Amino acid sequence: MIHSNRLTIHHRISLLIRFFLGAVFIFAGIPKIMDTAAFAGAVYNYQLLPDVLINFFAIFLPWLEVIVGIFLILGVWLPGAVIIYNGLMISFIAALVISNIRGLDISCGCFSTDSTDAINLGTIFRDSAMLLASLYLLFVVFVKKITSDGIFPEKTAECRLNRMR
Amino acid sequence: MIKSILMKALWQIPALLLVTTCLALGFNQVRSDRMPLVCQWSEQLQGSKSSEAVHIISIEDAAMLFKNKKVIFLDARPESFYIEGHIKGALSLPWETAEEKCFDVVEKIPTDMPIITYCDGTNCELCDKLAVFLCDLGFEHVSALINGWTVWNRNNLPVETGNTP
Repeated sequence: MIHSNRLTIHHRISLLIRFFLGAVFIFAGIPKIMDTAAFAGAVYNYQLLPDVLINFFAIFLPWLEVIVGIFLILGVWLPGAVIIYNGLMISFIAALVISNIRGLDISCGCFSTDSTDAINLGTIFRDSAMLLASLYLLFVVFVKKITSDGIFPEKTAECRLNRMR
Repeated sequence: MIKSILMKALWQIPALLLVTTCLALGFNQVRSDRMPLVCQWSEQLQGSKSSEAVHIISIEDAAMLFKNKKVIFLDARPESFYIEGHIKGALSLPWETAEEKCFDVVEKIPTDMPIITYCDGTNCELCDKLAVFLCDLGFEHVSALINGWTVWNRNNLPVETGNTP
């Protein structure tokens, strides 16, 4: 019984985190899709990618954010979506830390393409907090094995528990 | 069990990336402001980013004027960056507050004195926005130093920190 309670708690927390992280990615991706050229400028300023990859990356990344965000919220293809989410967060943090160490005075390009949205320790801290949350999702999906599809997995989990009883 | 989740992730990740690529490229094809997939950023940005009204000054010319003390530098970055470090003798006129603060700063500059605006990052448009703004105010010799703070430091030219009165 205790086990099933814990499962429910993990379900609820992971549901909240899925909604939150998914929404963050959707809201981060849409402005970049609207103004891809400005986002490409922000990518260029990071000075991490070769010139030939910048435009493709700027076209591709915002869509990846939006689609992974939607899949996370809908609970579709969770294992794949969660791994990509974690990979993206680790790459974002690495890019921010490298730029911070290099002392680049550039815009983050995280949530908007506004050039006043500069990189600082706050942006690194914010992304690290998001990485922690997404690592928790990774734990829930791969260790607690809560991969049931659907927006509200509690229902399916309860069904499964009932079936087990 | 964990193996089966991993197997799921293994096909979901490439599938997600494929769906994203199709959507991103498809959307880029149909949108009116379509971006080329490959673009030589470094060449494109050589001076062309600024408005035509503003002269782009080279670091050599800027350094020459600085040595002859025949120029005023204006720092277009946010004030916190200015305090951390700026070109020696530069005045702070952050772009965001340019309209309110410009008269205090402008008072200190004779109208026939050449002005060089600078910020940082090759794609940073703050400095040419500020330069256009100053041209509109009636200053005749306004130039923008693209990627100013970085190239100034790269050439080991004099800098100072803190707030100059």
